[in-house]
Amino acid sequence: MSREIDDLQLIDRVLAGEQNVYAQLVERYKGYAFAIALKVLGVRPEAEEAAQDAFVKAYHNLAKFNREAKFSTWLYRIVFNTAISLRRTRKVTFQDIPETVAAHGHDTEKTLEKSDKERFIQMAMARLNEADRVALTLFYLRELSLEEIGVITGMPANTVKVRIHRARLRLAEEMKTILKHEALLL
Amino acid sequence: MSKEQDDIKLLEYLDGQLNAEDTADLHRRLESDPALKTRLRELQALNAMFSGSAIEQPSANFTPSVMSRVNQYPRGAASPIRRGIMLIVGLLVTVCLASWLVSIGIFDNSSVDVNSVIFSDDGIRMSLPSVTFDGKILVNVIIILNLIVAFFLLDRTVLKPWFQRRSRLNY
Repeated sequence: MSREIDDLQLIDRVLAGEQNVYAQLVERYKGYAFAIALKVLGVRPEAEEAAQDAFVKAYHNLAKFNREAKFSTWLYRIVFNTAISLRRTRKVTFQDIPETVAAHGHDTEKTLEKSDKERFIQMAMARLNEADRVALTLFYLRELSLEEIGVITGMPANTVKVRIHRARLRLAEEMKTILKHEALLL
Repeated sequence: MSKEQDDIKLLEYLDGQLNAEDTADLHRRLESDPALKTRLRELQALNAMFSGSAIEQPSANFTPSVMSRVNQYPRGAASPIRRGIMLIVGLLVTVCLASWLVSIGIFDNSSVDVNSVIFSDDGIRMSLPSVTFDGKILVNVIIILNLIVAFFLLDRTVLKPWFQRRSRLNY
């Protein structure tokens, strides 16, 4: 049974009054929903709040969900918009990169552990603009097509493709700056 | 071919989106162009780094938190607002109708002198204390009461839940 059909069955049960079945959908998509919110907001507590708000909003609008579309795409679009709104409301700022690099600068000489890799990825991503960052995050989730990424971010698929290509190239340059050429080639 | 075009070709190659002809052409160029080969290795490393990066998970109480909010405000939660709006509309229609009737003077000659009404029951005649009802005043009082109830309903069933909902969802 494909995930889409399974999603529709769960949605039908929720709409029929089995409220607690919604927890299965939350469990299934919370990881990516949180990842998207985190990439927009850059701060865990706010990202968690935005992702939770998005799930609650999706729940209240479940009857309006277009069954021709994928639930995940619809949900991620709500997450994206909710995170953008929260960012505007709270004026959440992404981590200041020069300070971050300065704070962790001595680590670049050490072995590039996995946690360091994650941190450097975040640093490089933070240097991109919001739209590039989200598009790239969705791309690297390897779950969504360019068309789906376009639906979530509200951009045409071609624009998404160009944006992702440019963002990847920019990211490569940023990583080189942060890590030096040798570290990148680990 | 410009550097940017080369980069885009390399990315398409890494994503497996290059057709057979372009792939063969790129392989030939990679053999003869060390700079292009280095660039490919850089982009490969970048890809590996990002593709291998774990998705950060939300806190353990994420799902229970969502479900507690969902259970607190079930799907039908919006209906009391709609019911409130319907009640307010009903009240306002009544008020408008009554005001219109008052304005055209339908209640102008509706004063009733209760004392002039004689109740007869088995031949017993009795008179009541002298009390006069003015229909116009009565209707005006009803209109004012309706307006007060309408404002109360507006506050309790529409505005308060709406602002609570807004602050809760923070859209």
